[in-house]
Amino acid sequence: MITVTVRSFIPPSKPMGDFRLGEPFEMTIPEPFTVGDLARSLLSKNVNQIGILAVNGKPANEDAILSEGDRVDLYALLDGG
Amino acid sequence: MGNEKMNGYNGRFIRVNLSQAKVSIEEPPLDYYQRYLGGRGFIVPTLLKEVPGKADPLGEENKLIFALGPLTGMPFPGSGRNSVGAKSPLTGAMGEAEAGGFWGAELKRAGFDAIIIEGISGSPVYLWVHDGEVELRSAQSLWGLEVAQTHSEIQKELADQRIRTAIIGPAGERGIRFACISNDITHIAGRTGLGAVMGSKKLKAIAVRGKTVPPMADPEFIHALSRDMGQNFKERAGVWKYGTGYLMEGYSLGGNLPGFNFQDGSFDEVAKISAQAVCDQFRTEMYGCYACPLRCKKRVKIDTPYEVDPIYGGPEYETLAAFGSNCGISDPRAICKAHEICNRYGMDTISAGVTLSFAMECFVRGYLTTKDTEGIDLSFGNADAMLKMLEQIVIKKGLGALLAEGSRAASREIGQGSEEFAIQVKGMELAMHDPRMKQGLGLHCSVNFSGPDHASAIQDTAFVKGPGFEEMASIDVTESIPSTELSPRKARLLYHAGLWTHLPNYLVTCGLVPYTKKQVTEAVQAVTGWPMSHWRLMKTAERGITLGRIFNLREGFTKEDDVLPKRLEMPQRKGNLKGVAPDQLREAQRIYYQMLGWDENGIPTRGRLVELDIEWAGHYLNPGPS
Repeated sequence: MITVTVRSFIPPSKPMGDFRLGEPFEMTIPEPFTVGDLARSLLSKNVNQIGILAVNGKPANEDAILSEGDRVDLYALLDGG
Repeated sequence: MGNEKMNGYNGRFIRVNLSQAKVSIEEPPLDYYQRYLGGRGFIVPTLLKEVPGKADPLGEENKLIFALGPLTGMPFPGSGRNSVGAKSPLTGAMGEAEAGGFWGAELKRAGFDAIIIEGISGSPVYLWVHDGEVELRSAQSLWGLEVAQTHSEIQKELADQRIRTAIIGPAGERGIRFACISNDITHIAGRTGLGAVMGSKKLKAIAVRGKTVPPMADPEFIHALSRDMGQNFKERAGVWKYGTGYLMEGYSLGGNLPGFNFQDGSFDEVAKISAQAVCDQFRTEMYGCYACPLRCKKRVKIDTPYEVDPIYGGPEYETLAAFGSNCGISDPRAICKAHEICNRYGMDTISAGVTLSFAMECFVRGYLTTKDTEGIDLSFGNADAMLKMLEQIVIKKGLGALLAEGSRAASREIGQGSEEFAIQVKGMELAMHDPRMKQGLGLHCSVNFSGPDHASAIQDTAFVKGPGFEEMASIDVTESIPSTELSPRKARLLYHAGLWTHLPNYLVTCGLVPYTKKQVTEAVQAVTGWPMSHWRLMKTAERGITLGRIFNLREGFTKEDDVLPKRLEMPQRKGNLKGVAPDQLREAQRIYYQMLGWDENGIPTRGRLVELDIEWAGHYLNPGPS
């Protein structure tokens, strides 16, 4: 198992007690685990809201394998206003 | 459609002739409502029929129209908006903008669906609309007041704190070409300079108050829809927490955050200016619009080094980027102050920010010097200078007077090739979405009749995959297409999906409330009782798009005006996306024209006018439709 820091601007499709939108929190995940695996496990069906994934501040694709201490950012698709 | 009832509407328009100080009430027939629905649908055919070609946008012949939609004022989220339109003093084309808040819902409760303003008053006035009554009142004592003062004075004069107002500030009075109209101080109809039109008519405000909501065909459905959104919005979208701008860091990563006058698509210091950063440091509260639980508007208060009055709200995404990354500015306090100045005096933050970034680039290149700026070092990143020049625009002093005309006019005066980096289409500045990243949005911005309106554009990223992608099959979008692709199939996407993204301008609803397409269609059916389908709704949008095109053709616009700024043909300096290829854009436009039933010159054909049941509009084409 490894621990990564996650910040998601997409809410999980089902309420999670300790989830805070846009605020970092730690997740412990098995190895190997991809960014896509993490997003699916966290967001459930809201995974389809993902626009950009980042690992350690750089754009990543869903297949990227996560390592201990990585920081993962999940951004939604749309904005405006 | 077989149902003769007028649910959801009042069936009454107000017409005010300011030259004659005369108010009259009109009752459009049912089929007018069913054909045009509301918002742009009411505005565009009225302007085409009633404003003569080549009319001065700031003259007596122009008309200013406020319009609601079928869903406005109904008790569910996203229904508090109104649309407003006129011939634009910024573009010379059809101008239109929308604002949220409560004013639209209040006008519906006051007993009307639209207000048509014509002529010019001999002295400043404001309109007082309440429970079926309409009254013109003197605004002599209000003329020259800032937006919040005006709002407060009107509420005092009429002795009712629940009155809603649509107001112009001093910028509208002075004819600044990107002046806005402000609903209840902070809900802004920003685009296309309609505040200047209102100012030219010496109309300071429209105050509304009403208590009667028109009946709905199926109120239980609407109440259930409202309950559903109220209980689940936090799981459907993230905008409620920080407001728009909460994704700026992601935008920067993806190359969609304009930087340094659209030279860049990302900004190294984005984390300092994101909505999250602003909220964490300066937010006093979140607030919202009529019947909406999302409350996505932020209010900020700052004491130093710039005093920012919370009464003017706080910056949303477009403002954060326009005055921030796009001007190379990383101090969120300066951005909040720029936002406050715009709201205080009544100016569109997008056009103001992009006109300033244009001036900054001119300064850096030496096309403008300190002699032109009266000593201001207008370099990118200089927050004090940005604010000083914004204040010069407000009072139309020195270079500020030129910039108050917008970036197109300024670039024509400055010359030296600066036209290539004036980031505008048809005279209106682009919003904070980079067409190099969203190429379908770029195609839309090049063609759209009211200039580069981001709110009715498609956001290409939504069609790669995303929430409800499967549902898009219902509007015949079945194929995932990369955001950066510009091709015939992207033109097809813009045609189908674009008609849907235009629809909120006709229903006059908010695009930020995460409804499904099925819910939107069912809501229209539930309110009106009419058997409206996706197809009928999309055809309503197409009707408006076509009529707006005809308006512009009559004004002398041609397909040569359907272009993006030269700057966007270049690759991003930072962000690494390639430029929009002109030949691909032209080919995609040509195919998009064909799908819209326009000929190779972008002129609607008779066949399409007949198909849309607006053959009457062919009268305004010269020569007539082919």
